[in-house]
Amino acid sequence: MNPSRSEQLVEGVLQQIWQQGGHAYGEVSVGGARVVVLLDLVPEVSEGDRIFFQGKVALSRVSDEIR
Amino acid sequence: MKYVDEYRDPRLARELVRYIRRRSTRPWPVMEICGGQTHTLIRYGIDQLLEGAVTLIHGPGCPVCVTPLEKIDRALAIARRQEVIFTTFGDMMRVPGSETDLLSAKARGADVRMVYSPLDALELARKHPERQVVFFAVGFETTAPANAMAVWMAHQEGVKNFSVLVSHVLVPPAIQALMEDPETEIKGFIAPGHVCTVMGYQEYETLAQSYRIPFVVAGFEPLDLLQGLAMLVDLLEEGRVEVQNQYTRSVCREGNPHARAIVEEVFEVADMTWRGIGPIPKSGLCLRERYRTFDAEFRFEVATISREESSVCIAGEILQGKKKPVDCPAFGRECSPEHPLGAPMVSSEGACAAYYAFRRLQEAEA
Repeated sequence: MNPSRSEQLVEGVLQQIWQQGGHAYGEVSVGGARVVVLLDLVPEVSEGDRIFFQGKVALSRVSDEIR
Repeated sequence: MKYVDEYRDPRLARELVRYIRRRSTRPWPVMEICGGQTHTLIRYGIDQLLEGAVTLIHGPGCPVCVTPLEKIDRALAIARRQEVIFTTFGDMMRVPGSETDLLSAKARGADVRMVYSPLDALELARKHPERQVVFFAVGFETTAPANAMAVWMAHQEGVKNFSVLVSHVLVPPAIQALMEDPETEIKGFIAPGHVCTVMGYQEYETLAQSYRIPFVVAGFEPLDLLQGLAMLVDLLEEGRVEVQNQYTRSVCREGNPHARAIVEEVFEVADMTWRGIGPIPKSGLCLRERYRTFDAEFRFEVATISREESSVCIAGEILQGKKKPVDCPAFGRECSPEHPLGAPMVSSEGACAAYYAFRRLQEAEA
């Protein structure tokens, strides 16, 4: 898992999604660690997706597409 | 490891290196913007593998490195206050201000805490209503959504004891400043994949047309960068001015509209001073008027603190791609990660740190 860094996005697999206090959260596994991230900015994601997050806020769904 | 090994396949890497070397008719000077990309290029020796075909110029895309000295001093002034819990990402802890750094301030009693997210800082503010919790909101467009989200949530919840010290910078104005330099040799850019994940790459299309230079948005693994460089060399050899996207697994042309919307809601574009480079018009973000109560600079009245850069460190020239870290007489001598003179030696994305970690023994032998 990435240490506490400013810029780098961290990649993980979304294990579980839930709603709390008007926000969407998800548990993400990153190299064996589990992190809870906010999912409000990626409403299209579902469990099992790979995502990028920064500062515990998910920013994109990572596709399998390889150019 | 799944989703990592695919992007580090040595056979594919060799093929791409052969392709670039065959395709290139001259050593094209191209800049990779992002410090994360610089680290991959140096760590895997990609710059050396492509010598004679591509000359890699390292850009100013390390957010820690370009955070101005006076912001660090303002952070220190806030962190020393009794009522403050000062929170920051770990990579800002050892960046030197004019006299000291946040880690040293912590050792001397300041309540400085490393967090993994501005949301962690907001949670601290909820738990400690008797204290003032400040988060050091540093970074490019990649970090702006999380910082904006924390401020927006604090606003929605009425959390009064949370604020942010903002030092946000934007990539496109920095590219514009680099291209306006009459001495620039840059012929193409590897655009930052993570910034473009948030912002998309429409702004780069405008820059490409304005300066008649091609861009390729690329990722951070060795094959991402080699493929991105192969695409860039194709564009350069064919004289095509356009923006192509290598990092399709994360980036689309429009970026993330939800992330852009929250950034737009909370921040507005402002003039910004870059450490080692100087002021660049409209190259930063500040809080909009309706969120100004969350601005730590105003809350703690530190906005007037200003500082001059040290003349010893050549970080400015390194950040503009004019010199390599090994060109600095202090590199690896007076300046090391343990005793840094400048931010690029501290940050995990700094060019000096990359050369120190992966290249200094080679340089010493040469």
